[in-house]
Amino acid sequence: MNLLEVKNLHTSFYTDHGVIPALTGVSFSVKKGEVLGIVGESGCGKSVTSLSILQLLGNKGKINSGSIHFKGQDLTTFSTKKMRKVRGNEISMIFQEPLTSLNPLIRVGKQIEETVLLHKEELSKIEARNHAINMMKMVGIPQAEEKYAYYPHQLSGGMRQRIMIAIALACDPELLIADEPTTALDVTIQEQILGLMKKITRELDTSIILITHDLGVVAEMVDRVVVMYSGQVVEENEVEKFFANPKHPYSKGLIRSTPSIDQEDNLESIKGSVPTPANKPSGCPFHPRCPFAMEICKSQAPENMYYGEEEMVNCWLYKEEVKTS
Amino acid sequence: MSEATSEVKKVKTYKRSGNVKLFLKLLAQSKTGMVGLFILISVTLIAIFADFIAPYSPTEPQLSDILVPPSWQEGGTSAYLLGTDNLGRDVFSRLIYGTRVSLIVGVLSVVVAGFIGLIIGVVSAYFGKWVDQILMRIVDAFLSIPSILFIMVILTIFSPSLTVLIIVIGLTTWVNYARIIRGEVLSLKEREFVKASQTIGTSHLTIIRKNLIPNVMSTFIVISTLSVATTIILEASLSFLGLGIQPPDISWGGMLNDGRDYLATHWWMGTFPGIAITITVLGIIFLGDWLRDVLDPRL
Amino acid sequence: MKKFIIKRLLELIPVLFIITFVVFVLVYHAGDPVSLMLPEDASQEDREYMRESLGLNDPFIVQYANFVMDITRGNFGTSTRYDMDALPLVIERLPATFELAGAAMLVALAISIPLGIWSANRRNSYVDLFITGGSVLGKAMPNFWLGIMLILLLAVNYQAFPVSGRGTFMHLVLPAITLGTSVAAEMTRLVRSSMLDTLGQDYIRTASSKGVPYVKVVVYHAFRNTLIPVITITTLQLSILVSGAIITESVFQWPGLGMLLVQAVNARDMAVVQASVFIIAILVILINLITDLIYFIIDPRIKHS
Repeated sequence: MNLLEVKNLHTSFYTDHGVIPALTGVSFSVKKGEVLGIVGESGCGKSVTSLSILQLLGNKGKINSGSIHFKGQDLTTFSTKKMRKVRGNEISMIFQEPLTSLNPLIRVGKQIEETVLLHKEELSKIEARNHAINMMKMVGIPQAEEKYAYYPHQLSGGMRQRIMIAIALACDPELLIADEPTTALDVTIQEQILGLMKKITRELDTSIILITHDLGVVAEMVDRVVVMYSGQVVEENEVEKFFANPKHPYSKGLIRSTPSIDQEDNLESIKGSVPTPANKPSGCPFHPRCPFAMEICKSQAPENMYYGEEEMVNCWLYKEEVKTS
Repeated sequence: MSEATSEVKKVKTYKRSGNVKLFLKLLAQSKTGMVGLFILISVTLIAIFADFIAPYSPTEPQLSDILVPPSWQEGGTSAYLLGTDNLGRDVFSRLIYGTRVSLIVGVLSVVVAGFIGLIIGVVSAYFGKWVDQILMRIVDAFLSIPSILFIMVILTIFSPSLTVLIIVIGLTTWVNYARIIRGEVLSLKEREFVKASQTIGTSHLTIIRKNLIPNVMSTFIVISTLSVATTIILEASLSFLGLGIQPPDISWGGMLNDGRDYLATHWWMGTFPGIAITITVLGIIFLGDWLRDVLDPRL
Repeated sequence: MKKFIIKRLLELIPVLFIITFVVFVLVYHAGDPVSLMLPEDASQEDREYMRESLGLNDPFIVQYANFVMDITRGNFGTSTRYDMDALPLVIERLPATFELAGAAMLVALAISIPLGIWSANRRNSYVDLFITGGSVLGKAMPNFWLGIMLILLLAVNYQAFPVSGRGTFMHLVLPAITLGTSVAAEMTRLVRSSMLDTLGQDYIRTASSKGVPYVKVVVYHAFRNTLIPVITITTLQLSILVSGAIITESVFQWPGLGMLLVQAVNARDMAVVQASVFIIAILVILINLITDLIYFIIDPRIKHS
C-alpha cells in the first residue's frame, strides 16, 4: 500500500476577483521510504499541492474534489482537530524561506519544543526540552544547548533551515514535505542541507516529497519524478528513466534548459511563460509553448497515458505508442 | 498664442476631463465614498445658503420662547423643529449657521498647515544636509508635543477670533504634512527624471515646482482631506472649552458648551450639535478613506 | 540599553530648547506679559516698573537666557489667580490626571486589542464590518460630546454614576470610558491592520503546519508580533490621549492638570499655563521613552543589533 495517494485533486482559490482553479486533477502517490520530486516552473501548482495535503490553504483556498489517502485514510474527510494531529506529527513541512518561516520573537529551541509538546503528550517539559536539544544536535547545530536560547535573527540562513528541519522531524513523521528547502540558500549550504535531509530521513525511514524547480537537486535526491504544469501532472517516471528519456515536450524543455557540466552548448529556454490559472489556454495547456503542438492539442486536453503503473505521460504525441504497447 | 501651445492645452484639458470621468466612475463604485461626498456637498450647500434655509435668526434672542423642547416632544411646537436654547434661539437655525464656522476653520486651517508642511517637507528632503537636520529637529519638537498645548499658549496671549483660530491651528498642525511629504520627496529625489533635470542645470525652484510638488500632490490631497476632519473636531473642542469661537458667533462646539449647563433638564441643547459634528466629520473621513484607497493606498 | 536611554535623553535637549524658545517668543515678544500680569487699570508708572523688574528692557538674548535659567530652577512665576508659585499648583494636580489617563488607557487596551484581533480574524465578515465601522464612528465623534451623552444617559437619566468630580471609583468610570474610547477608536484599527499583516506571515503558516491550534497560533505566535507596530504608533496616540484628557477633565470637572490648564488659559494666568505646558511636554517625552523601552523588551531583534 502506498503511504500517500493523491487522486484527481482539484483545489481553487476564492478571491475578490473570482474563483481561480489552481489544481485541476492532480494524482500521484508516495511509497514508504521513497523520495518523490515534484518539479515545474513557479506558478504550476507545486506549492498548492503540498499545502492541499496539509490543508493549509488559508481561508481563501478550498479543495473542491478528489481524495488524499494517507495510510489508507482520506485526509480530506478529516475534521480540523483530527487534521491538527496529523500536521507536524505524521506529516510535516519545511518551507522555502528560513528567514521568515521562523517566528522572530520566539527562541528557536522553544519553537522545536512546541511541536514536541503538542504531539508527544507523554513527555514532561524537561524531556521535551532535552528532545529539542537532541534534535538540534541531530541536524548538526554546534553547541546546541547554548543555541537553544537563540532567536532566529542570531542564526545564519543555513542554521535556520536546520532548525526548520529539526522542527519538522521532531515527532518522527512518516512523510516530510519540503517546499524548495534550499532555494534561498547559498550553493555550498544547499549541498549540506540536502545531504542532511537525505541522511536523517534514511535513518528515520521518512518518505519525502521534495518540491523544487531545480533539476540538479532532483537528480541528486529523488527516486521518482512528477512533473507539473498549469495545475496538473504532465509526466511521472522513475528518476533514471526520466532523465534518460523524458517524454512530455515540457519535460524535454526543462531538461534542455538546465545547465550541466558535460554539455555546454545548446542551452535553451522554454519560450513563453506558465499561463496563470485565470486564463488557461484551451485543450492542452502547454500547446501555445509546445514545439510539437498538433491540431488536436488546441481543442482537446489529452488523457493520462500509462506505460505500466508508474510511468505516465499526459500528451497526445504518445497516444499511438501507448495503444500498441 | 502659437498653434503648438494651444495644441498642448487641448491635450491637457482632454486628459484632465478623462481623469475626472475615471475618478467619478471609481467613486460610484464605493458606497462609503458616495455617502461621504453627499454629506460634504450637503453641508457645504447648507453653509452657503444658510440665510435662505434657516427659519429664524440664529442670534436674536426670543425671550418669550425660552427652552422650548423639540417639536415631537411634549411642550414642543412645530415652529421650532429642534427646540430653542436658553435665550429662546432656534436650535435648528443655529445648527445651520454653525456649519459655516466648522467648514471655514476646517478648510482654511488645513490650507495654512498644508502650505507650511508642504514647503518644509519638500525643502527639507530636497536640500538635505543641515537644512534637513534643523527642520527635522523642529518637526520632532512639534511632534512630541500635542498641538493643543501650543494652541493654548497662543490663545492665552491672543484673544480668539476666526482668523486667530485659523492661523493658530494651521501653525501647529503642519508637522504631519512635513513628515510624510519629506518621506515622499526623499524617494522621488533619487528618480531619473529629477536627476536628469539636475544634470541639465534646471534651477532648484523649477525642479521643486515642476517635478517634485506635482508628484506629491495625491499624497497631499489625501492627508489634507483627513486633516479637515480632525481640524473640525479640534475647533469644536476649543470652542467647547470657551477658547475658540466667541459668542455671538456660532459654532457647534460653543453650542455644546452652552448646552452642558442645561443637560439635566434640557437634553436637546447638548445633543444636536454633537450629532451635526459627528455626521460632518464622518462624511469627510469616508471621502478621505476612499481617496486614500484610490490615490495612495500606502498611507 | 543604557546607551540607548542616554542617547534618547540627549535627544530631548534640542526638543525642550525649541519648546522654550517658541513659548518665550510667543509670550514675551508676540504678546505683552505686563498686561497679562497687571490689572487693567494699572498706572503707566506701574507698568514701566513692571517692565524693568521683569527685565523686559534687556536685550533679547539676555531675556531668553534668564527665561531658560528660571525654568531649569522650576521657577515659572507666580499664578495671578491663586497668588502662589505655579509649579506646585501644577504638581498637585498630577495624581488626578495620572489616575484618569491610566484608567483610560486600560479601557482603550481592553477594547482595542480583543476587538482588533477579532475583526482581523473575521476579515470582511459582519463582525469585521461592525467593528471597523464602530472605530470610524468613534473617530468622527468628538470625545467631549460622547462624555456629555454618557452624563445625560447614565448620570442624569439612570443616575448610575455621579455627574462630575473626583473621589470614588464611580466618579472615575464615565471619564475613563470617554477618554478610553476615543483612544480605542484609532487603536482598534491599528491592532486590526497589524494583526492582518502578521497573520499573512510565513511563520504563522509554519506554526499551523506544526499542528498548533488556531487560537494558540493567534495568541502565542501572532499577538506579540502584532504589538510591535502598535507600540511604535502609540507614540502618535499619546497626543490624542493628552488633548483628550484636557477636554475630558473639563467635561467631568475632574480636578486634574487639564482642567487647571483650561481655567488658566481662560483667566490669562500665564505662569500656570507655562508650567502646565512644560510639565505635560516633559511627561509626553518621558512616556515616549518608556514606550521605546517596552519595544526594546518585546523585540529581541533590537537588543542584538
